[in-house]
Amino acid sequence: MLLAMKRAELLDYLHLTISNFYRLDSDAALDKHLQLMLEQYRRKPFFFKSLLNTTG
Amino acid sequence: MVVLSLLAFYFHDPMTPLSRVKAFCERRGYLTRNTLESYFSFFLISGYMHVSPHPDDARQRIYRPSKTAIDLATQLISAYLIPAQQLIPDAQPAQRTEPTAFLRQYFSGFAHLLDADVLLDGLLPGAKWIMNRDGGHLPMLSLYLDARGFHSNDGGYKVSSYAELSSRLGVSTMHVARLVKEGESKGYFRTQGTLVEMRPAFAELVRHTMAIYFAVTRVSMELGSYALESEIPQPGAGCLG
Repeated sequence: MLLAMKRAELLDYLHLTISNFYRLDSDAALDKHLQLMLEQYRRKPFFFKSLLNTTG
Repeated sequence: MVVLSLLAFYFHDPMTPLSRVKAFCERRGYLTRNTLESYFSFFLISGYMHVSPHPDDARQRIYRPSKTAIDLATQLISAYLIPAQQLIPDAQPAQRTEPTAFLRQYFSGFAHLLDADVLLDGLLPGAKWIMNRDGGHLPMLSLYLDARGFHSNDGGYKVSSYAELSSRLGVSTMHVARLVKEGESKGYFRTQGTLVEMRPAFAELVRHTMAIYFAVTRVSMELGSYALESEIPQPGAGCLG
C-alpha cells in the first residue's frame, strides 16, 4: 500500500519510477512538455519567468 | 516550491493559516521571510489568491486559490502528466474530472513527497543551478531540444540561436548566454566563438531532471488516488508543517 510507505520506501519507489522514465528515449515527450508549457508561458511571460523559478 | 506548498497545504486543509505555510517555506529554506511576504502579496494583488480572516481566530489569515489559479495549476500539472503518459502509459490514467477534484487528487499525493522532502533539490542537487533562475527549467530544456537537432562529429550538440530562445521565453539574451557560460565552467557546454556545443553530460542532466519531474507527477497522482479512496488517515499529509 503506497500510503503506508515509510520515507525510505517512498524514496525507493520514487527512484524506481524515475529509472523507468530515464531509460526511455524521452525527446518526443520532452518536446511535448515544452510545447504545453510554452502555451501558458507565451500568455504571461514575465509572470512565468518568476513562477517557474524552482525555489519560488 | 512556495506555490506547490501553498496548494498542498490548502488541499489538505482549507483552513490552514497562511502563517503556517510561511513558516514551513521559511524552515525549508525556499525563500526568506520578507521575500515570502512579497510573494504572497503578489499572488493577492494579481488575483491568484484570496485571503480572509480565520473564522475561529481573526488574528490568523486563511487563503484559497482563485479560479484563475486553479485553472492554471491544472494546465501546468497536465503539461507534465500528458508527456509522462506518452512515455509510460499509466495503468490507472487520471480520470477527466473538474479542475478542483483533479488538483485535490494531485496535491493529496504530492503532500506525502513534500512532507518526506523527496523532491528535485534533494534527488539531484546538480540540477539546482539551472532550475533556480528566471524561466525555471524551460531555458535549459529549450537549449537541450534545440541542440538535439544538431549533432557534431565528436558527440557534442550545436545550439541554434540565443536570440530566438530568449525571445520565446521572455528572458534576455544575456540570461541565456549567462546560463551557457556557467554551464561551460561545469563541463556541460563548450564554446568556440559564437558556436556553442552541448556536451553529453548536459544531455544526461536534462534527461535525469525531467525523469524526476515526470516521476514526481506520476507518483503524486498514484498516492493521491489511494489517499482519496482510502479511509486510512494520510500519514504524510497529516505531518505537513
